[in-house]
Amino acid sequence: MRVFTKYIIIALLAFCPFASAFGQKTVSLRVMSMNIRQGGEYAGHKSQPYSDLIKQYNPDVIALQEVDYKTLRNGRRDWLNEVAMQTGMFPYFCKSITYQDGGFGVALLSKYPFYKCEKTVFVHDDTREDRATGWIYVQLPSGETVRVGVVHLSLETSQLTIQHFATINKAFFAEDTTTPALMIGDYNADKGSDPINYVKNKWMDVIPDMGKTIPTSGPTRQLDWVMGYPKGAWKCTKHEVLARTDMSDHCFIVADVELTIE
Amino acid sequence: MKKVYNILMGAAVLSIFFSCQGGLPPQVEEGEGGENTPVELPEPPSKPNSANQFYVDFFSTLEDEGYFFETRDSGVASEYVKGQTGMKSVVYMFDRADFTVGVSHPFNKMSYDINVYQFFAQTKPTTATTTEGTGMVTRYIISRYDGLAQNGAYMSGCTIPVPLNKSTPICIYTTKITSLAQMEEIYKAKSQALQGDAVIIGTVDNKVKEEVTNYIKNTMALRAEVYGSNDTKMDLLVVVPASYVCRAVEDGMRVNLPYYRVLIEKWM
Repeated sequence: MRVFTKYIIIALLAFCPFASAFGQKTVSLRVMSMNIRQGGEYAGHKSQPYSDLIKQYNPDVIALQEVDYKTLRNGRRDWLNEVAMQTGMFPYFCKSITYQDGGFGVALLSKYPFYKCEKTVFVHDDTREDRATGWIYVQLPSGETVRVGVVHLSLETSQLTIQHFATINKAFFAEDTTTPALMIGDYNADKGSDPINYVKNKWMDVIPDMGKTIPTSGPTRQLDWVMGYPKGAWKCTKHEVLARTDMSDHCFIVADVELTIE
Repeated sequence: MKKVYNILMGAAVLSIFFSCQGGLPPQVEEGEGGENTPVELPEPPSKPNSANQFYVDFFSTLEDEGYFFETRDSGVASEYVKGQTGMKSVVYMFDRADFTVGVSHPFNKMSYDINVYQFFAQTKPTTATTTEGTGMVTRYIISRYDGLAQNGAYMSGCTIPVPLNKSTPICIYTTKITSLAQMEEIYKAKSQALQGDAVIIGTVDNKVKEEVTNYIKNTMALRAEVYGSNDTKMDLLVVVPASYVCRAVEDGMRVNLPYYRVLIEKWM
């Protein structure tokens, strides 16, 4: 009788919420970071070279910085939409400033639809330009939802870089502190710097062994980062730093990341 | 040993109790007699105010039968949007303009070709290949994208400056409702947003339209109208807050693209 009761209890516990609380689920996705330098000037502002590279790596989400929207220098092309068409992805452009009769800012491309997106723009008298940060909510085929953001921080002083990220944190977590998130891009701050230490108060460095990312001709510093939230939930299983001197002064990052959901 | 058994048994009983709690739908407020209390919304004026109205065009067969552009040319849709005369629609929606991973979506091209802003609102769970949803395009700069995807309910939309008497930021959502539970999820997540400057234009399954519209009116305290016939699987669903009213829905056809032109007025 006792043995029978034991099996009943084990079976019940297996289906109870307490048991599921102990269970873990892992979600994988491939992300890319691409600072394309002045709207892709190294590639003559053409979109196809970048699309070809993206297709080669087949990421789920790409965080793009320094994107032009219909500027004079890029021939008034909707560069992001061109890449979206060439890769079959969803585009989200976050304009930082009006530039050359068009726009200049950051952007996200997603393999899967996003059902919500938000942006915040950092405006400060002591910075050279306003800077946008955007993020999207993507439901993955596994059913889990992640937030992926793109960032390009101010570089005038360490204090401004920190102040910039503080405003991002404020906007990012204003209404949502539960959805797991990645914040990818050009932090304009090197390893061990005050800004990166500040970012790590709330976020985790998903690729601790990233390596140097700038300049492409012989990287000496790491300015590009993949940060994850919450701390401890993310890990990188594989990453590559792509030094494409024909496309940017920044190396691009490709990373396979895993999210563990308790 | 007996103590251990008692603890385990207690945990099992508690776990069953809590798992049942999580599965219960939210309770609808009941009146004294036990029936749902209908919410009395203020009557809009009988005389329309054309200066405070806007159109939304919703392209759909209302059959939920597959990819809308499978047998239809998205170029016709572009021509329609580009060439519309008179009072132009503020948003154009294309039901079942499903998205397939790696395949260029017609709205990317439409956005590129005719200078409109695009958005895709998924209406079913994401899959590794194709995700069902509604494509949206607008001439207005989108200031905000909002949405939800939770417990089988999907609703997304964008806020644009609608040219009424004065430019008014209105969030125009779309959704596909096939069960009352989905509308309950929407209410849980977006009840406040839907009381403000926001409208939903989507579809509802014929089989549940009555209970869904009753729920919208009586529990969500919003106006709900459905348009269609019993011959189609779905009906067009228009949901607006008390300060808005749906004045008319006209159906039309552009080549082989069936559409519904929804006229909404902000009256308060």
